[in-house]
Amino acid sequence: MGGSQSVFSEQELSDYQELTYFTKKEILHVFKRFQTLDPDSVERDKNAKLNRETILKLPELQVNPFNDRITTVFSSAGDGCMTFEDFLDMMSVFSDNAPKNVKVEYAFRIYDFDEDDVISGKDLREVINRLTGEQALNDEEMEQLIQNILEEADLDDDDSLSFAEFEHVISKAPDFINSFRIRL
Amino acid sequence: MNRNRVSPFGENPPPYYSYGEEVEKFDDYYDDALNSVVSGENIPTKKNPIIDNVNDSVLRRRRSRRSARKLRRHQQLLEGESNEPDVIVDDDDDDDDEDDLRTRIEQKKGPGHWTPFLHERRAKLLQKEIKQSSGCCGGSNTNRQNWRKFKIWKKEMSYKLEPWGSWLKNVEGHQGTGVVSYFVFLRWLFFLNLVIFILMLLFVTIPYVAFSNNGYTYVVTGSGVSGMSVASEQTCSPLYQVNVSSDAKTLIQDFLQGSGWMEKTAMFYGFYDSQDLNSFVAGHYSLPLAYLLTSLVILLFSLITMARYTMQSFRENLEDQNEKHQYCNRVFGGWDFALSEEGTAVLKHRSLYKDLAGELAEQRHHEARKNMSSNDKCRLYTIRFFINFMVICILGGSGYLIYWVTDWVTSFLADPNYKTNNDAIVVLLVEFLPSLTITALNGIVPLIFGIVVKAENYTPEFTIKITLIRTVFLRLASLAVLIATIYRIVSCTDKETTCNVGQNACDSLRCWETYVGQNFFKLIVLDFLVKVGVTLGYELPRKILTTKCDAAICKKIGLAEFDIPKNVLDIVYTQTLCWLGFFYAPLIPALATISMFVLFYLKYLSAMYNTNPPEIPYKASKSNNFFMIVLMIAFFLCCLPVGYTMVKLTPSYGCGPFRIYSYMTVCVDATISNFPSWLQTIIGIFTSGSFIIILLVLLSLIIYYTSSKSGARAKMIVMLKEQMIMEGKDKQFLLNRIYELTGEKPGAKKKDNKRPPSNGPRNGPPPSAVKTVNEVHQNGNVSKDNDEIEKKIRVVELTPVDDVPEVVPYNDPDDSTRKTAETAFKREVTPVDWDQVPGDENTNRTTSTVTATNVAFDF
Repeated sequence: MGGSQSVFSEQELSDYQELTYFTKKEILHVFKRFQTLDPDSVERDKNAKLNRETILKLPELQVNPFNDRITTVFSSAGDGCMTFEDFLDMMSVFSDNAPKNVKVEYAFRIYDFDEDDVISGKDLREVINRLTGEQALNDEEMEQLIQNILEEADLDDDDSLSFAEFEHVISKAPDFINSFRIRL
Repeated sequence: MNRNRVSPFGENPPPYYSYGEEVEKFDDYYDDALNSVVSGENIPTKKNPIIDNVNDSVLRRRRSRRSARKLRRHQQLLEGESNEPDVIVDDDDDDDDEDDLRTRIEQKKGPGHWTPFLHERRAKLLQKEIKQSSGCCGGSNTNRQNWRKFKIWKKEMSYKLEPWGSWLKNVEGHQGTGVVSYFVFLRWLFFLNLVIFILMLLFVTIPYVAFSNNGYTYVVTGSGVSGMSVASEQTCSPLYQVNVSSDAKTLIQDFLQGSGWMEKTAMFYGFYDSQDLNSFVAGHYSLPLAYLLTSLVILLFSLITMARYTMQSFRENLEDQNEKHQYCNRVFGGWDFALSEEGTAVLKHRSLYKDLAGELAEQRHHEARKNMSSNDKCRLYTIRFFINFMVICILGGSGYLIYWVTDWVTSFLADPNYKTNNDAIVVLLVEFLPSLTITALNGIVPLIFGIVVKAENYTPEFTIKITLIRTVFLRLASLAVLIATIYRIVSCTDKETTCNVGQNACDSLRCWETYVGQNFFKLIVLDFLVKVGVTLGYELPRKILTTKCDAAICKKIGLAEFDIPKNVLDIVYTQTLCWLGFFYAPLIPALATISMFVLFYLKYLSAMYNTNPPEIPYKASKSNNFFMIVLMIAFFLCCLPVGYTMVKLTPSYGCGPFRIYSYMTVCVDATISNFPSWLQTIIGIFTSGSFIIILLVLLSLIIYYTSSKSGARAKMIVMLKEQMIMEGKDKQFLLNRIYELTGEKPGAKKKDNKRPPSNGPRNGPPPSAVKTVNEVHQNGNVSKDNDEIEKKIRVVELTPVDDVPEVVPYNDPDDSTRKTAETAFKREVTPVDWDQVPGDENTNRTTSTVTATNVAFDF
């Protein structure tokens, strides 16, 4: 760790430790990963703000179909740019130790493409399209799938999922907690 | 989005200031932090579109007002007037949450106390530190801090000690979480075996090897207990001889078979002796007792760790036993965020597509099947019946084959001259024949199962399950047959009287426990070799073929798939062998540990380079449970023969730690007989039948209690669910009513739903009706638009609380349902102490209206 150890003071590290779901060692590890994204600017200023393209160099995000949403949601400025703190935040939420409810909240925001605080049919369509990638479901299948999802999750029949409904259905979706994480 | 929560530092956050700096700096963004602290905990679960629409404009104004206030504060700061004590309460937006906040701030970070952005959480932490340094309850705080430090230390240690962490990470990026769950399972089994091995080593092998007296000078505890005979032991022990040849070929052969020189090592039961180790530090160390107790402890330990492992995942999935949310699970839990390989991601897209399309097709298919003609149905069921019959036949046939082979091999080996009459290779083959048969069957029969199941037309998920169950049956059945065959040999009744060794038709095994151990030893060795062979001899060539050869046919073959279920069953099988064998060959756990260790790297190799991720999306959550259940079943089946051996079978007179006892458990009686009489009485009471019955009754009572409790909870879940739906309907109804009153069409609401992104309810404090109306009042001179909305709101406000339930036109005539709704309304009414609200100009509202407003909006 040598080099990066000196970047943060002990106080800063224990602060971060307190504020995230990481240990000090993990935080340094996160910083290392952050550093590899753009070594020069991070060298100059550890709080450098990296733009979206740089952040997306992280392999996990590179292939992630929701990567633009993730960067937007975790960017404190809301423009997809991230400082180390934002980055740390993101990794912390995706870590194994983050509790389900935290993950659920962020997942909701990631899947809520138009940011209207409900996951509507349109959002669902977008999610599914991004999931299947190049091969797209045809319209009939898509309709059927969206109907199925709404049938399962939309308790109040308003054709969209509110956060409560989303949280409820995620609690029944055992794969979520396993898949919504990025290992350090 | 999140514009209202932009870092107080603006675009360029300064380096973090230390705690020593003045608190004022922190004041300057306190209201922001305060907001976010509150908002982080009050995620609005219910929404009110009207209010949200109103909020649109209102919030924007509120924000601008707040930033103005912040500016003011800033100026004050600059002018040095900021040391007013009421700095916290001066924010009219947040004061009703202030008390709440104070208590919350004291609470630790944890679920539900998460604020979206780190710098905001820092503010929260700072506040806490300040409170602590003001020193009200120092003692408990230091304690708590120490405890927290300890916990963090523990976490760090566990992170440091997590073996293969980065390896797992690599695999995850390559193959996804499903495959990683296999590796985690493998690692878990590795550690389980390691512990078992260490226990055996520590309490049995090392004491015996280090402290045994050579020569048979017995210190026998508890002479006088029935079922002990030192005399027969003394005649029989010298008769148990092992032929050790120094021929190099035979040495290796013996190593693989556990015979010859291997038989005389600490690996096998026969090596140990029944003496008390009186040169041991603290006097007597009864080896038989240690052997028995260690075995029991190992079984118990395995059970407990397994139960813990299962319960962890089981608890998470307990509520998920109905398949009601499979589509949501597929879509929202579909993408593996850990994937980092381009190629794998493409494959994942493809597999997700296949899965979804397949599932939808299946759904349509299912609909079609519902309308299937009785003719078709009849045909399908006939096919299924025949296939199931066939599967049973195959299983039975495999069982018989193993039985026959074992039988034949035993009779072949019964000939005392077989080694001289036959070639060494033939002998080796014959010796390994039962193990080979089992391994071969395990390889071939599942393939047949995989083919026939397609004709049965099950749903994809059920197809996987039923194939797995059949495979499991095959594995366990073949082991069961092997055990049965061995049992037949061991329990053969035609025995000579002095040493209890078989004669005539029965095999003359001088040390049958070692014989059993050798069988499992061979199985483990072979199983291991086969796994190595498959990885290096099948997957690797296939990989080379695909990458090096350009012909179309090579490309078509492609890489092998990482078949998770098969792999997991493989290691479960190894574990089963370990549990079965450890009693008869105490160092078999070492073998299993090595096997798992090597397997980890081998499988890592194949996961990283030689195989593709499984095409069928693997449900890590569900199958984990399934595999643990299989492991549990295997465990209990392992316990049976081991337990039977301990309690019911007569140990060999010529070898092993129990040679002087007629049953293995007698050594416990012998030890107890040395205890003082009062202790003996107590133990007698505890082991008496009547006590056991009482214990059983008590246990059943506890089970009954817990099961009825869980039943009640299940009912509760159903009720809460209904209530949730009810409240959703309430919302709808009230919306309709609002639209009725305002003259808008309910349908119009959907289009207005889209609001500027900055106004997420989770971005600021939940917009409660009270505040909103407040704001509307405060800003009397706003645009006409807002005035109109305000009027509409007032109309709703005037609806008295008690009227609301009256006009509810419930479809459901059930009175109790309506009552639930009523209570739901009333529960939401939070009394607000309006005297505490700092007077912004126009807040002269009466409490009753506020309550009404709350009822109308804050549901």
